[in-house]
Amino acid sequence: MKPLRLILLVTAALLTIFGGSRLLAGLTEGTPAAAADDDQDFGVDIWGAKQGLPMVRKDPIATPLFLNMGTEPDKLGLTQKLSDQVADDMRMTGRFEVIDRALYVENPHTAGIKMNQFNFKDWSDIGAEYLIKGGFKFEGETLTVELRLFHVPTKKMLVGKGYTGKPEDWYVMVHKFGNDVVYELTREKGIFGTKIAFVSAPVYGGETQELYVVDVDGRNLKRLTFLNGKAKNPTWSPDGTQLVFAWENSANTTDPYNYLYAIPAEGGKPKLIFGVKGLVVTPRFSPSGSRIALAVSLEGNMEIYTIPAAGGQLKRLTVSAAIELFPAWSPDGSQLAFVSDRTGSPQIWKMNSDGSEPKRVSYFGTYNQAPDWARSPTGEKIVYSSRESGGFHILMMNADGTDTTVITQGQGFASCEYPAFSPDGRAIAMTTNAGNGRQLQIFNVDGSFTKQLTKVGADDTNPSWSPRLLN
Amino acid sequence: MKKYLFLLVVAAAAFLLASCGPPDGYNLAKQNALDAQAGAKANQANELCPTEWAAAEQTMKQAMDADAAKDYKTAMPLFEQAKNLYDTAKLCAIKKKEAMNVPPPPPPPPPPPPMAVKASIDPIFFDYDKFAIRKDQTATAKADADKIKGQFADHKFQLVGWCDVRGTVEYNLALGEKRANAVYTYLTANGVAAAKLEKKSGGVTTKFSADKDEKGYQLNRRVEYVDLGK
Repeated sequence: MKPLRLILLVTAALLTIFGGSRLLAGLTEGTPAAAADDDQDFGVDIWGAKQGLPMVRKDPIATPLFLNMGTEPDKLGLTQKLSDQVADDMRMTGRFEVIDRALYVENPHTAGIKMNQFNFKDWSDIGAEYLIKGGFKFEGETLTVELRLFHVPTKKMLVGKGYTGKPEDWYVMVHKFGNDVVYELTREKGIFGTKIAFVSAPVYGGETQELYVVDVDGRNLKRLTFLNGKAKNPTWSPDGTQLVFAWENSANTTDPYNYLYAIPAEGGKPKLIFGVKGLVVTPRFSPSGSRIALAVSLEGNMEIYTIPAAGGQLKRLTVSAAIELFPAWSPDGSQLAFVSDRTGSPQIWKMNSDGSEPKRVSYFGTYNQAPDWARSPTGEKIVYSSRESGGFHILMMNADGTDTTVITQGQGFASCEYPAFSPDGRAIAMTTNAGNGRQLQIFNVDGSFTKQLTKVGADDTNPSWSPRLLN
Repeated sequence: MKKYLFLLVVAAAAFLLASCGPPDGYNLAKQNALDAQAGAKANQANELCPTEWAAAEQTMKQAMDADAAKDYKTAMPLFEQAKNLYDTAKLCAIKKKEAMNVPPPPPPPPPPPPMAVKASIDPIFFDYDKFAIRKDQTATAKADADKIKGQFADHKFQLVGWCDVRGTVEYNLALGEKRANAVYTYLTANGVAAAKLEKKSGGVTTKFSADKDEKGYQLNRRVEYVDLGK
């Protein structure tokens, strides 16, 4: 017994050291290719697929308390709130490690927020590579916020911005600045201020399911529908002004029709696009906003169709005896990924947007569902959920089916499903199940950040990530 | 020396204790007697054969008294005897009941016909992620078709396809539809008029079993017949 335990311990220790150093090598080199090779080695013996993406190196950033620059008192506690929001946003980018405020050496009472009003040495001494300083002032019902991003080693200001608005919109100002910071550092637009649409039922399998939206920072949760049926699979119009969703009249089990509705994203009256005698699920706006792809069963078998966004004639794209659903447009709108079980198990396929050249793309997993397709910093990716014995996990692959990577495994969730890409392809919203209902969660694809968006209790599914709504 | 003495005392005590316990088979004999008593009572032996019942009860009482006094040697044969007496009483009661039933009691008057007789037709079960009718289900499906053509020829039915909870709601909605289609196709091929049937997908459900195991999942993977009346 004892020698066996010893062997196990030594093996585990060796694996940890060996594995850790390999992972570290991938980190410091930072080249995707080198890291990918490492992952492939891991994949075979531990996960059966590649596990996670290489974590990018995180830059240390300091986000000191904000300065009240005005004469009116800080009636909203913004000295701390603004600073905390800046820290949260920088964390969410996945590129920064926020230095603990307790370690700061600068005297906040004497230091200013502009160049030459503070000492860069106070920040280089604690290892900060970047620094965001800010101040605010209240003037009656108007709030002004100034924010500056500094690069500590070069002692340069990279971004400086001022915002004026209603005091309760203070966090919107931070999100706008966050987008500017991301753009400055990457020449890519940030995703702060985006929203997630989803459906929620009181319990799993509940008879009613309504449509909601929530900001990606977790604020402004809002119920949009009161239709007393089952709202399903919301999709954002590319301009962010409306949501389209499928609807089942679950209160009347003899209603053979299913429906497609549109509703203003800010809330309002739902508008019927069409109703059909048969099933209707998984609508998805095309990138141009002109058409909606969806799954409809007109003859007792679900097929993929498109319909003009304002309603009109259905155009059939798939012709097969198998089940076809979950269409997801390619970013340029020329192709669609979808789920088909024509090989005997549900897999991810893709085809041209006129339905020609259907081709299977997923070869990992035996029950694959709910694809989403986005342009990411490392090329076009398709993300989907794959069912194993215990539940779903999120997998990501190149749009040509190569390089399948496990995004969620071992994060403590029994199941992760319905992945939806952020507009920058760097994050995924999904439905997670930790044993008590299903909640919405955001994951950066490289594992660098996660955030739970909805509270435990209800059954929150079908997230759809809005396009960029700020700046 | 003291140590040996102590061990000896312990051994003696253990021996004494062991000799005090009930002998082999004692608990079984007691349980058998109790079971026989319950069996006889269930057959109303106390009412139908009071003499036999009283004899058994008397012996049982003696056995229980001895048992309470831990006099296992006396109690054990008494339990065995009591069991036989209860069995005799039970047999007697069964025979009396049969004799009484020689002219069978008149059947209760038929209840007034309900407003609508709901037909009960056996569901068809499916394999995981499959919609083809399984070989072991064809006999049920054939019997269902015969019932719908015969006994319930004037009823209409809704075929509802259900799936277990594994997988997505959307895909299972499509799968439930195909299950309903498969049964519809089988029934119409076996002479059921299409006009008598409606199809519907129920999608995922736990309404037939909430168990999260294969047995529970199997109960939910079915096509259910909902009687829509005449």
